[in-house]
Amino acid sequence: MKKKSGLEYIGKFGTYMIVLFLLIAGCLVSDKFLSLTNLVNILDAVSYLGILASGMALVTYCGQSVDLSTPSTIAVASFVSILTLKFGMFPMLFCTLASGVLIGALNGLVIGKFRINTVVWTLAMSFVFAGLIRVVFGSANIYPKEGNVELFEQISRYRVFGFIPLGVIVMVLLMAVLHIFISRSRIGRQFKLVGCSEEVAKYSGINVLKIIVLSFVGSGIAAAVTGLFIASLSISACYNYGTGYEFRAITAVVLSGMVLDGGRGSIAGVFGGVLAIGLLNNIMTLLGLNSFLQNVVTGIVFIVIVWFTNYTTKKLEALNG
Amino acid sequence: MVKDRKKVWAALNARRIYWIFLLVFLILSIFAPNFFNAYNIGVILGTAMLNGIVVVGFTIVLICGHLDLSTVAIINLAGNLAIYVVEKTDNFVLAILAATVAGVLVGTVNGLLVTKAKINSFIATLGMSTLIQGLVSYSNNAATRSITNFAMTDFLDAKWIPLLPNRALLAIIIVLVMEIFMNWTVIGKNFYLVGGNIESAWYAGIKTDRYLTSAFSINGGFAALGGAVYACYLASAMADIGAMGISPLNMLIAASVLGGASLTGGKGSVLNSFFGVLTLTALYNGLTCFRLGYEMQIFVNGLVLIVVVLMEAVSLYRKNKLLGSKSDLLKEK
Repeated sequence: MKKKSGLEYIGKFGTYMIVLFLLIAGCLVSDKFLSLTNLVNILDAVSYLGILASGMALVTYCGQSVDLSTPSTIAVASFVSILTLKFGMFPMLFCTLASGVLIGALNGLVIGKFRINTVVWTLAMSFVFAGLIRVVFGSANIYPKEGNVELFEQISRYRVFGFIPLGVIVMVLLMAVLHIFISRSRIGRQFKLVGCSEEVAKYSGINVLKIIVLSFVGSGIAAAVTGLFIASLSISACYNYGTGYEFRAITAVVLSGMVLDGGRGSIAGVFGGVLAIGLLNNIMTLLGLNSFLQNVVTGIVFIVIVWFTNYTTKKLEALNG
Repeated sequence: MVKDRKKVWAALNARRIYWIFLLVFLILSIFAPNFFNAYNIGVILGTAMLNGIVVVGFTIVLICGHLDLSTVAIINLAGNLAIYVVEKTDNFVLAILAATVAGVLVGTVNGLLVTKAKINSFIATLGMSTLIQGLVSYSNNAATRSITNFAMTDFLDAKWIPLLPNRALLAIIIVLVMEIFMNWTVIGKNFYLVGGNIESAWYAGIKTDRYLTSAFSINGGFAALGGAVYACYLASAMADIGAMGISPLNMLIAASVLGGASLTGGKGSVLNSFFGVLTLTALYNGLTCFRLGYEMQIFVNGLVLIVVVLMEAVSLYRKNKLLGSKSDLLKEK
């Protein structure tokens, strides 16, 4: 009995144990680690990833494995934001978010209606949008010419109270809202049921299509916000701004204890996963590790942690009978 | 009548890749300038070599119902390893052999992670991909490794059979052997059983874990073989072949899905996937004949994939909608 509760504890707070372990390791590695600047820097470095991962987590949570169209959504959003900047700040924000909603809704409608394999469809969408951007704009960066460029720059550079970047605030707020939405609201519970078993959800009168569309729209919006931040950071738009982000987001989601089959985990866990990635990268940089070696270590840590999580879940299921 | 039409449609759909291939080839031959000539067809066949070899293993993993995201990383690993060995020993056979063994090892680790550690194949191979790619980039500092020995290039460019460069011949031989292996031997057919329904395969006495693991090993081996031969042909190896132009992964997925493989497993064939690669290569070549850059190729790659996936999904949707309903009653007015 005691063994079971211990395992449950690991299953629930596994990511935070990793975070705690990394925090202790960080303190041992360098005395600069625990300074306020460094901690804020860690959060700052993973804030875009966190925003993206919280959207991706919605898709994973309701059992649709992963949304691989995010890199292109990020790129499209960066182009939309740069191109619509001349109409003013609010139209720009609206159009950028709308582009995310549209791509997400398209993904969700097709996948929810026709039960297409998510990986193949979202990958295909990713090619189409990446190709479309490159056909229209070529491989060059485009820069904003008219509009309030100074204000646009400030989106990624503004620091609340002088030291917390806006991206971090957005990430934390987004995650808090989504966490409460998923765990407390009626639609949030429907997400869980759809993630556990679509058949059961369908026969208990849940509109499965609506839930799937909502999850993809969430992912689209998150990707669009990420694209907006990246565009603001570099004050330009380019076709490759989202490259690699999708796999990093999946890493964060999987580290959080969510399984790709859906229905398990929480958004708070995703925050832990994102933190773990940030801490790991920060510690390795403090150790002076080459960035390619960092990838090797990340890969090993990733596999080991997933292995361990899997092992405890399987044990738990066996104990539950 | 309706039934007959359905049967014809099903028969056409099962061999769709050949129709699509013929259609693409015909249209491009008629409209694309400089497309239909002996030189260009040799170029197409030669270009299809890398993806043609790699798609063999990739399809076998798909037939087993899994996806190997580390394929591109293995291609890069093999290419760099092969060039490194040639630098040291000047022996191409040894280089390709060493690279292939390394690929099989990585594939086996993938397979064990999926079967023994029970990690979702998508995640296991994703982690493996990060790891291997990191190692490759670290080993040569993300630069391109090259040699000045062009013996392999000359050998692969030679044409023992007119029109057909030796590298295309190599790919075709591998594809044919594996196609025969998958369709005519018990072991090959068992892969389909494992992918179609793993539980019933297990009850039928098939050692499912062993088959899954070896599917990943085979994929690792062929990815490495393709990568090594390609690197020896170019006499250089990039740290990340996927960073330039269309990543092989995109091509591989599009080609196998076009060839009838599905990510749920149990379907697909090595030969069909190879024709998928040929079709896409011809299509890209044709786009270049129209003086369109590879921006257009990425776009078209996505469009082709979307159309094929949608077609399949809509037919499945219709079938599922009629499932359980009495179709003969529906026909009565």
